[in-house]
Amino acid sequence: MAQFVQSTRGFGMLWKRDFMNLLTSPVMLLTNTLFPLLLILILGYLTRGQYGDTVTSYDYYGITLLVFHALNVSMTASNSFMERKLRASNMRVLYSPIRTSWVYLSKILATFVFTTLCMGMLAVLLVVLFGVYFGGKDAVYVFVALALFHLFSAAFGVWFCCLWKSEELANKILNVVNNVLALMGGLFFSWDSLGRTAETLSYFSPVKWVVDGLFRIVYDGSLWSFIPLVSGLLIGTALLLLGCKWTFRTEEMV
Amino acid sequence: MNAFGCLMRLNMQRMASRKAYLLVTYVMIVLAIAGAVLLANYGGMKVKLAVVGALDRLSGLERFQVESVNDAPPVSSLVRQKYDGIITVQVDGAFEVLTIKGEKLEAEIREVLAGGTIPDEPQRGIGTTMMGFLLMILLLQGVMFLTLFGEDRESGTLRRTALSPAGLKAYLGAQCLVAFLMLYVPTVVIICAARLGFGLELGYSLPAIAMLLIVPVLLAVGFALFVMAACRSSDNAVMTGGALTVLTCLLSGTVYAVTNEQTWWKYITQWLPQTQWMSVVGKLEQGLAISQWIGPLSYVLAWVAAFMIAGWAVCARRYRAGHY
Repeated sequence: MAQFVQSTRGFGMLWKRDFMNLLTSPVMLLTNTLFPLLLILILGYLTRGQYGDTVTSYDYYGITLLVFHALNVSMTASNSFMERKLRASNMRVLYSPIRTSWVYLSKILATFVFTTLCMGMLAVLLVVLFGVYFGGKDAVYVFVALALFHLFSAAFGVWFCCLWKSEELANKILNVVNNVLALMGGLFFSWDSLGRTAETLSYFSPVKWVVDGLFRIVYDGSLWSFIPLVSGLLIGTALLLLGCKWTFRTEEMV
Repeated sequence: MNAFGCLMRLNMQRMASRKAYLLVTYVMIVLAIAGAVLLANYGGMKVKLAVVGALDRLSGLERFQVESVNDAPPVSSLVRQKYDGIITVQVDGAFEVLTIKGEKLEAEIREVLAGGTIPDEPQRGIGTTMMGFLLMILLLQGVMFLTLFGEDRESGTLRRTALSPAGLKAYLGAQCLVAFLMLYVPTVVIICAARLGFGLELGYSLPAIAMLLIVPVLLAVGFALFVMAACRSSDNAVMTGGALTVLTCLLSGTVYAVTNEQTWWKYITQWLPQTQWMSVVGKLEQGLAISQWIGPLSYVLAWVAAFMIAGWAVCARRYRAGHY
């Protein structure tokens, strides 16, 4: 029991350290707040002619670009996990008497909390600045789903690091993979308007499923897409954590 | 010169060992071309309407694409632009129009339904679309192909090479040339394959494409060199470069044409090299004379030169100051 308490305290300290690392990194702060906001502002402005007054372009991009932000959480996570500066400290933690898995679990949790807070701030700003509609009372479901997507994404980024054994490589691949998935999923412009072939292609991107589910919650008032979405993300996260357990090697931290 | 050749060969070998970069880059180039062809074959942006009930007044109209449905689609299909409008026809022939795209479109639909006509809007050609997609991908991937520079800087190889008889100029020159070749040659090969193998019409002749592509690849390499030199770590450079590329490409209408241009908007975006590049390829595809596009083309080339010189200057200054 005493060991358990001590171990938990170790986790808390690790988590606090990781969280502070994220909070004090200007690059992480900017990519998680200013960058999505600018994208929404620019894309919303550019395409406002394609929408009317009832549903504005900001309503569309407010939701799709929050999903884009959630997708890019994977890069924040991989950055917080294996950045060169952190490798030595990770190594020391691995040799201390706490569980190995807590090194990456605390990174995932710290990233999740940090980016979800950023998303909350973004959402408030979006509502105040552009009057983005998140579904009124159903907004709770939208943000729960988005937060779970953040968790999934954080686990994905960390797993990718474990898989490729280097943060640089993982980030470079993630950068491309995320952008392709986002583009295909219609986050920057909707592929549904480009005909049947494009629409089918678009559904190959899992991002599209998430966006589709969110739009259904917001605009159709039907919650039947919420359960599959949430359970899918939770199962995905669990699988990724298992993947981390299998692919994480202490010696790669050197 | 011998040192330069040696550096080139080594860089080529190092780059060739990174299969993941190469594969991702080349797959994305293929996707860009496929996407442009798909867009062009679909005929650009039509107004898509879902019709509940029987209505034959819209068939045969160029600008509309009509789909008959049994039940009215949900509002979310309007938001994600599957349809631009839903028309519900009652038994007595009266109809209701539901659209979220503003009163202008609703008025247009009503006008057409009442028997009127509306003019077509000009569309972007397949070659221009393809060049726009390619430009964005090349800019994104250019930074990847210069990561060797960042790594050498961090590991101290750069300092040692710069102190050797090869020198800093030859080192940077070799890096840029390798990046250029590894982006340019495969892109041209892929386009040749698409043209000759699949017989796709791409808007320009093959020699013209080969000539044209030199400019975006040069721009990508120049931009990459500048970002790599300006950022302290190669990691930050990749992220900064990616963010800058995505933002500026969207602003300049590289990915899709900006429809609601206003004077002040043009004033802000026209200085971007991507905007000028899109006007070059657009005018070329329309077959306009050289005097029409030589101006913007030289403007883009001036950006390339500026990026290269600035990148080299930053690198040389930091090297002299002992940062590496």
